[in-house]
Amino acid sequence: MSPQKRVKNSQAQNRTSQVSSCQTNLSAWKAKPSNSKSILKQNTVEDCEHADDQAEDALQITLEYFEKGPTKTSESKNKILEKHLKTVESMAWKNGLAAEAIDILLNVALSGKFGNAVNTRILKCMIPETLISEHSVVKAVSWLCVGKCSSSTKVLFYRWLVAMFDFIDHKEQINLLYGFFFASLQDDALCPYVCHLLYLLTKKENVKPFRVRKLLDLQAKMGMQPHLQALLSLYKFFVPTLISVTLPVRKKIYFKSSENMWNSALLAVRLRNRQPFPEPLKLVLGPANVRPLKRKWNSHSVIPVLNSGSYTKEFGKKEMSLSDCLNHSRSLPVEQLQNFSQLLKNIHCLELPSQMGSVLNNSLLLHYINCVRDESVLLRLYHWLSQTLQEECIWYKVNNYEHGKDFANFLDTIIRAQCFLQEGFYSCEAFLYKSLPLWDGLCCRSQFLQLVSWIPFSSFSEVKPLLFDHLAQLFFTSTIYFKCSVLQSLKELLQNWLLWLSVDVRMKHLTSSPL
Amino acid sequence: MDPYDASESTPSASSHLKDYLIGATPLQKRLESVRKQTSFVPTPPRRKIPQCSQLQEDVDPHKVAFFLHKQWTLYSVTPLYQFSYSNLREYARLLNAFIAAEKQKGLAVEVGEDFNIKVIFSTLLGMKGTQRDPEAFLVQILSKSQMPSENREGKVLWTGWFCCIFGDSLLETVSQDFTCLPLFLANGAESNTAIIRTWFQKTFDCHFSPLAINAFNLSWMAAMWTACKMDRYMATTEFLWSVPCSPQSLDISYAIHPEDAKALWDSVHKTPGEVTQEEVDLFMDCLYSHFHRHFKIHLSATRLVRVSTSVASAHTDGKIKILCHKYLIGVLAYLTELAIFQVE
Repeated sequence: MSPQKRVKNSQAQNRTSQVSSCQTNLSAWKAKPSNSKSILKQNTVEDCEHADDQAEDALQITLEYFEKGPTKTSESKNKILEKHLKTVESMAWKNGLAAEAIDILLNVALSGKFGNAVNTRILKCMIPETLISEHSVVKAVSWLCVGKCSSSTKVLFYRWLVAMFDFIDHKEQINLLYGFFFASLQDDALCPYVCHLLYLLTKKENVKPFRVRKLLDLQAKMGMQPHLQALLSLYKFFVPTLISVTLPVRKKIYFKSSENMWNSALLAVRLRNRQPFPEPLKLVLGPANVRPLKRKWNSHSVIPVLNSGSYTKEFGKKEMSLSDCLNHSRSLPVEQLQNFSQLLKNIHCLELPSQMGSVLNNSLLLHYINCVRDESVLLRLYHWLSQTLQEECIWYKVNNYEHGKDFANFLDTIIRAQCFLQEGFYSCEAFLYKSLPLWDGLCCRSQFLQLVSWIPFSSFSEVKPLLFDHLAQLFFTSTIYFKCSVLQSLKELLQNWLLWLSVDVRMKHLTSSPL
Repeated sequence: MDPYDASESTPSASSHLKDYLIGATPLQKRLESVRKQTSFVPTPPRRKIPQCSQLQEDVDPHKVAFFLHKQWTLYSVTPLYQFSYSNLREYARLLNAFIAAEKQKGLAVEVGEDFNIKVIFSTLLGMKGTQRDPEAFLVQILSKSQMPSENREGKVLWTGWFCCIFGDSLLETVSQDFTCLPLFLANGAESNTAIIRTWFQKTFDCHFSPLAINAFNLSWMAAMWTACKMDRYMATTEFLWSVPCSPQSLDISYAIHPEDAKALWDSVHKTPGEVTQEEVDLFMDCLYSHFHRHFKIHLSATRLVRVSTSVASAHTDGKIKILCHKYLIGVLAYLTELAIFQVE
């Protein structure tokens, strides 16, 4: 007994990380001889036939067992194995496994010491407590090179990796393995899952022409597969000058959700970490702002999709200059902007959207254009907005009353943006002057009158012939309800003007931004 | 936000009300022009009769012939952002890949690969009114022949070109990053036009809208083109009116011998070198009354849809066909004016 104990003790001390509760229970470990006929000299089988109260004890024991590897065949080996597996599973599903435990188990599962069924069960229950260490993933991937595990295990491993991607603490080393993952695309069985992993992992530096060519060859071989499409569109997003692909307009799910097995457990882990629940942005690369209404005459939505303008930067760049290589500050593409603090951190290097109209739906970008001094940004928005208003207006050019609801929704978006910024757009003012003479007083009435209340400040003599004369004609010939609505909007107009005037003039000097 | 409030102006708020800054930014200039306009119909009381412009002499008549006798569909374009004439090759490559990708939706396409179509971007020298106008450029889609032995230049599938003739009023209101080419003319399949428009909209943040020509402008065009001095007349002067009635709309076509039309115009025309609103109205009234005398139909109550002279022919849907190379610039100048009006 004593030599075994010594072995055990030294082993226990050699563990790099010790759960403190386990340390105190070292003495409580009891090693009983197993019932099996053969006992190896150095590999003692820890048998926890008697139930340990502390679950961590059991876990430690099972971890040790797995680490040792399987013994030579014995009848009750299966029983012991089953017991250990059950321990791990119950522990995992209840509380999650510590990072060190995951480290050990990953090694065990992928090194092929045990059979396929055991590996599957282990992988299925590897739910982290809080985090997964990057090193364990790297080590696990190194086992894949050895080729000891079956392909189904590999598939399961990749699925597990994708599901648990958010919980890996650092990803730099994993990113360095990009080439290895990319090479695994050859395998048809692994291809969808590896694509998904690459989708999560890809950064701009990883997009290289030879990889693009490889993917296109795969596409030619396998046809139009959604996972390849997703990865190619991601590549296009980073480097649009290498590749061109047209995405379907509606939202499309590219990857089958492989988290099914771990869904409930993942929720628990997130709660433990108190992480915000991620939006399914990672699954879909495409129009996130698709307007829900079906548009009959336009197959696309009026407000353009948010797309960062990396096109124009790539033009004329033949070689990467040294300064580019040394320049570590990357510009933040506008799609990755999630919250206000991110905007503040990256405000100096934000890549503007390629179509300025898309800021209308995004409150963070509205903040940005509010304080930007660049005229071209505002001019672009001005032109787009005035042209779109002219085209979409249902009474201005063509009497097109069927689409009244869509136009009203569009006006609502604009009004929301104006309320948000507490300023009126110049293009809306121009549109008002142009379309008011043709307005019948009924179409989109509330939206139109709200637009009136956001006209920027100017003198009465200017505004009178453009606005009030036409409005007066409608006023005198309409119902009392209309009269009240007009008076209300004019009251709001006065309020906005007074608010504007009351703001400190000096401050206006510094922060004036003609919208 | 305040257009009058900028760093150069005086601090007091009340004096801003009438303060128009001299060095106003383009956006402020734009707003001032919007507010000054009391009506939004282009009614310049007089216009110049198109003359053979100086720049025409330099332009190769063979190249100009490329634009004649083709039906062009008109669009107005807002200023292009960060468009550069030195990157035309790159644009051609990207547009090529984009078109190929659009035709096979969902399949990714490598930029630079060999497709069975070819896109060419080229500048058109000489297609401008003043020196300030930006250079016009041309986009062509050619089909590449499959046989390598044949010459590379395949059939032209689609042509489109951007130009700006006498576009001063628009050029003043944009900053350096923008290229103002408000007139876009396209010839070819509508699907290709849509694809090209999408690509330009995505790449340069511009907006295309179809340029319709209303009856008022058509009658101006008729008058101006009849006033042009021609050596010989190639086509009759023809007008087309449309009367909406059920079950089918009624089309009235009125053809005049071009020399008679010119004679009528000369009798109406007073001020040399210029066309005024009164002259245009008088010209059209003469035509209407003549028709009424014969057919007892008041044409002025119908809608003028098409005007066709020896210089050019224009349709209200925004289609134009130019027949005479001498007055190409003049016709384009008028169309540019209409396009600028729509863009503003």
